Amino acid sequence: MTVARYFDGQSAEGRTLEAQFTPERLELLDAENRTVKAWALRDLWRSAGQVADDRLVLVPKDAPESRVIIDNPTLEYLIRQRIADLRRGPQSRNWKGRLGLVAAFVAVCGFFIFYGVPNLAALGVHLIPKETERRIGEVVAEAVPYMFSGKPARYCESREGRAALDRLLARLSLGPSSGLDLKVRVVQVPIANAFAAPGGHIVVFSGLLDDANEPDSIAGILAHEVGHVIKRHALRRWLRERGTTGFVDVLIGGVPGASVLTSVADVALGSSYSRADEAEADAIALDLLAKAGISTKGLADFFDSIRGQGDGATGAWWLSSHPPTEERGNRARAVTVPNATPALDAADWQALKAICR
Amino acid sequence: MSAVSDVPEDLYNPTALPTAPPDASHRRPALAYDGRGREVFGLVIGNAFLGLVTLGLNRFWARTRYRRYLWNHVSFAGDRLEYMGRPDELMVGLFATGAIFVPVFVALGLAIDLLSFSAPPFAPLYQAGAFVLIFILGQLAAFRARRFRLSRTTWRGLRFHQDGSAFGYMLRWLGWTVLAIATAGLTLPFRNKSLYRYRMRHTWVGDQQLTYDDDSGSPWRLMPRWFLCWLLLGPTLFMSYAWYRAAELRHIVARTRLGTVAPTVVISGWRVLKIYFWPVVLAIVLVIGVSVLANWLLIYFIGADTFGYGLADRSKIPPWVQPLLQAVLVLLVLGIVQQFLLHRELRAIGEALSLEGRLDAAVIRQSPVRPRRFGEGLADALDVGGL
Repeated sequence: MTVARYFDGQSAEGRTLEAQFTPERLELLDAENRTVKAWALRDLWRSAGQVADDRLVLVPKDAPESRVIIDNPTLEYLIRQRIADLRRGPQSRNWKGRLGLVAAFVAVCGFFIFYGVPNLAALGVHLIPKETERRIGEVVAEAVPYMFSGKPARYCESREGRAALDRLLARLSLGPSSGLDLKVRVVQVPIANAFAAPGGHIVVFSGLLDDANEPDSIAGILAHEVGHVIKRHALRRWLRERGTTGFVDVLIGGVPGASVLTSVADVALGSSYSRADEAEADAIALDLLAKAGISTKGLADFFDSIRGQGDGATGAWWLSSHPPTEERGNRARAVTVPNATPALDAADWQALKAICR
Repeated sequence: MSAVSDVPEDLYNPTALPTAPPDASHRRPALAYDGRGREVFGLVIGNAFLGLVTLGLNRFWARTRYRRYLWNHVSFAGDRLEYMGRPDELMVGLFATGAIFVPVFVALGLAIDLLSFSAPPFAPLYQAGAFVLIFILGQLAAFRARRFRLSRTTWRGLRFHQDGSAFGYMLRWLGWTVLAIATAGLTLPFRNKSLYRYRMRHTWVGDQQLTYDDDSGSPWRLMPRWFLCWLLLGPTLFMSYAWYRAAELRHIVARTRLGTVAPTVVISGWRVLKIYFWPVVLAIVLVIGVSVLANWLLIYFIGADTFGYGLADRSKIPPWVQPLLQAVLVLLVLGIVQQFLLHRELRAIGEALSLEGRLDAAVIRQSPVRPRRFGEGLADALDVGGL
């Protein structure tokens, strides 16, 4: 006799009954051999929550709170044979459903990361008032030199140097009349670098002036940073990076190691956008130089001089944030400016180089 | 039903089968855990490696499989608990959470950036602030996750249930934790009891609410022992906490009631220490092991063994590769050990507990509360609980 315990899903008190299996049916009989419950086997599930193999727990499909528990483990083989078709339920091993769900998950994540976030960031840029952007930029422009040198930023403001810088900007048609409202400053950091912060702030590190051989290089680099300003790249990039990390933190946060994956995704994604940004800024720079009648050779030479510093070291092109410098140099050289004159005369160039002294 | 035809006819004859033991009426119910370490370990490792391959996409299924195993090896009065939650519920729950919390996380990130930029020296402070904020929010998430898990827990077909307010729990947690920090940990017994009591009092088995017997002694009784253990925390490298924890378990768990069923708890400090000792040793060994493995992988794939000493030449490796590989492997190992730890805790509790009092099964009826459809997204997002 096979004993089954039947719980009706209403009470914890079960009934001990005799289970009779036929190839098609399960019947539960009481002591007087009366049928208490009967199901076609196809109307039963094996409980999804039952993984220990010392008993068989069946769930009627039409009463998912009820349980038929057969404690005798020697029945397992027999019952497995007989009700091999019984699926674990209520969730069955539904591969189509699983794949569909996973596909939906991947699709939503991919859509959001590759399409949603960049577009929202581009939109967000327009929602941020210029004045706010300026203030953010102010803060960033102060903070970045601090990160590089570990000291509060010291701005170089020698009168002659400042005048030379202003003349250079005017030459590039970037003076006060351009409507761009630029704030270009030189900061005392002995590293050859320059960056554009949100809101028209451009910061040139003094190390860049020390390394430069000709004013045309500085003009090219300034024009490049102005390209970032015109396209509001810094603000957009910041919004985009925060959007991606926020999204990935929430949706993949539950996986061990995900925060690391996040940062790699961040770097990889960020740098692919950033390569596009750099190319865009380069194009604007070349345009500005050509209009001002300044040779693009200075910029090309600068690209050549930094070759091998940024990229190549990691070897992974998709992780480098700037386009290959060789390509950038060649593109700059390809633009010929007729009747080009030096960006600054010798006196101004000396004054600019000495702005920090 | 093709398989059926393969079965010999006489197997259908019920009289040929051995007789099942008569249903024990379980007048004195038992609570037991019979999960096996090897099985749990296999399950957890399998899940972890699938997680690596699928970049974590399997985690909804992994969690479900893990919970099914743990739940089903807990039995009360001879019947096993069943975890009836489904992976897709977890996935949809996470999406629902994401809709709310992605913007919150993004805003938080932007705010931290702005604050950090305006005062760079204080940047770590803001980061820490955000971390604490998320940790506090994690308590709310953990309580909600517990509600979801209980609503998917059945025993004899009866659902469990949790009421109470997740926000209220978070505030209690915050208040007690701040107090414990302010008193250098001395009020910890009161904190632990209060939070435990809140969780228990809001737990229902079917339509029966668990209760907490407040009349038979307050945590003041624990204070002498706690003070002694507290003094010894430093000298014993925090191991004295195990002796306090054993006493605390004997105190608070024994005051939990289901109707007239009450547990007695027999557990020693050594036993509590043993729960954590081997997993911690294992974690250390595995972390060292995976670090060696990471080094070896780097040599093998990047060929960076310049000097022939079996050490990867860092200068040949992009700077982000080593920390990334290391971190993925270490976090993987810690995740595995954490899940394994839960099994060991359950086993110790199963051994320590015995139940007194009569269980009148007829009194326990189905929970009148319909379970919510989805849940737990927040806990998933904040990675709390480890379940």
